Amino acid sequence: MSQDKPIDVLIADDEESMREFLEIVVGNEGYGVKTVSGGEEALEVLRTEKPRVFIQDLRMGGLDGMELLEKAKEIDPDLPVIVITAY
Amino acid sequence: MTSNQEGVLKESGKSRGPQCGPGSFLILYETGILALAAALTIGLAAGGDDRLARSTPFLLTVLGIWGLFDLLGTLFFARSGRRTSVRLIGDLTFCLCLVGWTGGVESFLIPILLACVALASSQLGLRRALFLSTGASLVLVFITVGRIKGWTVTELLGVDSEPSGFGWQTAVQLFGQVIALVAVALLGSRLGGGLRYAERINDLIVGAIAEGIVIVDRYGRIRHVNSIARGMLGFPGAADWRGRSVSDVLRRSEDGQLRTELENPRVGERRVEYRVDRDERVPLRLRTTVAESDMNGARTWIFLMRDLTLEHRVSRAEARLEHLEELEDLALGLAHEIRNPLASIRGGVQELASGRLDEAQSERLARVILRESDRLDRTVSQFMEYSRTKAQETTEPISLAACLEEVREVLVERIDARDIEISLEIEDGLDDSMEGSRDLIHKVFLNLGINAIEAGTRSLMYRMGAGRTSGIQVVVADEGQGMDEETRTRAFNPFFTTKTREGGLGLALVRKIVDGHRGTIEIESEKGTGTRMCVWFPSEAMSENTRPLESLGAQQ
Repeated sequence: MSQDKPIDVLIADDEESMREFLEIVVGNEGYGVKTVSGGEEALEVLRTEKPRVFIQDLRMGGLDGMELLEKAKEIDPDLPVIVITAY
Repeated sequence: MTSNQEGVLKESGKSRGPQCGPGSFLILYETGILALAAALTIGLAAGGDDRLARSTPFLLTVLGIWGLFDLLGTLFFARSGRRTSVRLIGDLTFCLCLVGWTGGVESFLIPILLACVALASSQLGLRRALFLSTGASLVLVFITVGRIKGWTVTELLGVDSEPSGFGWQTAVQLFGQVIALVAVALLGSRLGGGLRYAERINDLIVGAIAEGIVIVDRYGRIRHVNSIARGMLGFPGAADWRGRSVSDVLRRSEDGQLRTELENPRVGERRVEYRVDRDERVPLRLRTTVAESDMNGARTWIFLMRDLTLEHRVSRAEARLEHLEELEDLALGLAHEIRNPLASIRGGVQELASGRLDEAQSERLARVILRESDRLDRTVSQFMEYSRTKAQETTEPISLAACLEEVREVLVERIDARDIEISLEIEDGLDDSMEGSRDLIHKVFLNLGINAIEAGTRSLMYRMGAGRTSGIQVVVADEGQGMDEETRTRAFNPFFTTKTREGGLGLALVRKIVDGHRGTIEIESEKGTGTRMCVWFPSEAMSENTRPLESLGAQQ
């Protein structure tokens, strides 16, 4: 999703409805939101666009959620990460 | 089996003594010698030969009785070692007497003597055989010399004296015969020893094999049975069954199935249920092979028996465990599939109720909620379909080719398959008949096709041919995105999800149906190059022999 505002929150979830829901809710609070559906994509955005908060699902196809968390912390150790899961 | 063979079977079943092979040989040989003695006596008596009058009638009587005992010994004590040695010495003495009586070194019965020595040596060790042949040679020399010199001793034995010079011709003849005797003894002992060694090794192997072995000759007589086979059939301490007929050992009416298999053997593998007693039934796997004699083509049947009781129990327990694991996966998958949309719905409704959203966002969120509700409904429907599908509902003969053609027609009509080339290739002359449920098989290939279409393929090919060793194989090949190894191994799990597709039960259902038809399904795929789904079904003839199919469904 391209946004005019700078990206504050990055959302990574493989569930389309969850992505859309979070985008609406978080966007409604006035933050710039970007959503991605996979781990690799999320890391790319974390490196290039430096969001302020990262919301990620724990279970996704491809890159495992915990692995993604570790790699995200390598990129920016001070980045606040919110991990969500349906389990 | 012809009536003639049945007659032989019955008759040989009654006489439990002799075995085929050396036993029958011996009887032939004994009978031959006795017949010869009788013929000689009658011939000489008829010819009015004065030799008969001169030779002691006593000697003839002794020889006759000896021969008779010999024959009886062969018939009834063939397997007792001591009796065999006594009989051998008797035979040899008898033979030597005949030779002496008919002219010693010039006797036309010398070949009989050689045969007798060879036969005796074949049952003795090397040293005894040499001792025997030396003894026979000495007696031959004694008779020959006695004949020439006119000794009283030899005349008393019935040897006709022909006083003459001891010429070099006689010496050479005698020497040649002695050499022949020794050579024949050596050869006989060697061959007999080799045979006994092979038999011993054979016995050891048969005894050491962990499976039950029954060896049956062409007359339906048991040649060999190891203790394991006896134990399996409920005769742990039974006496030796060798020489007895199958119908004699398995004579209860409950033994019918096994008896039929042993009496009318067919090469191959079969399952037989044997009833040990009222309460115990043993499932047996019977493997039958045949050994054909080089000499006369006589067939010896070898039956390997394996008790499947334990294997059955283990496989039942394994199946139950596997079933529980599958159930667990299914329950977890279902929970996941419900919770995910539920989280969106709950959050969405909460947000809508808060009244903080503008109209456009509210509408968008409402659409999300609707979509997720539909998804929940789909999940439940799919789950019910999966659970309700019995592995096999009705069994009927199906033409797989017709089924595939129908699937192709359905797929071609789909909107999302408009640009996809869907083809069907069938091997020439293939017997495509199989036993199963038409609707379910249809579903298998439809689901595989839909899967390929959803994987973004440009072409879809159904290729049907004969299985590598048996049965029918259908390969469903696409050029879609393919699967990595993880996806490949988990593709058949219920609700398994890849990030691009909603987790579903399509492939899980496919596997359930294929399993229920005793088939197999394998995935050959590489990321980016497409997928080949290889489905194999046993052909109609094969499925007749398989056990009744059980439902593998979650409702158990």
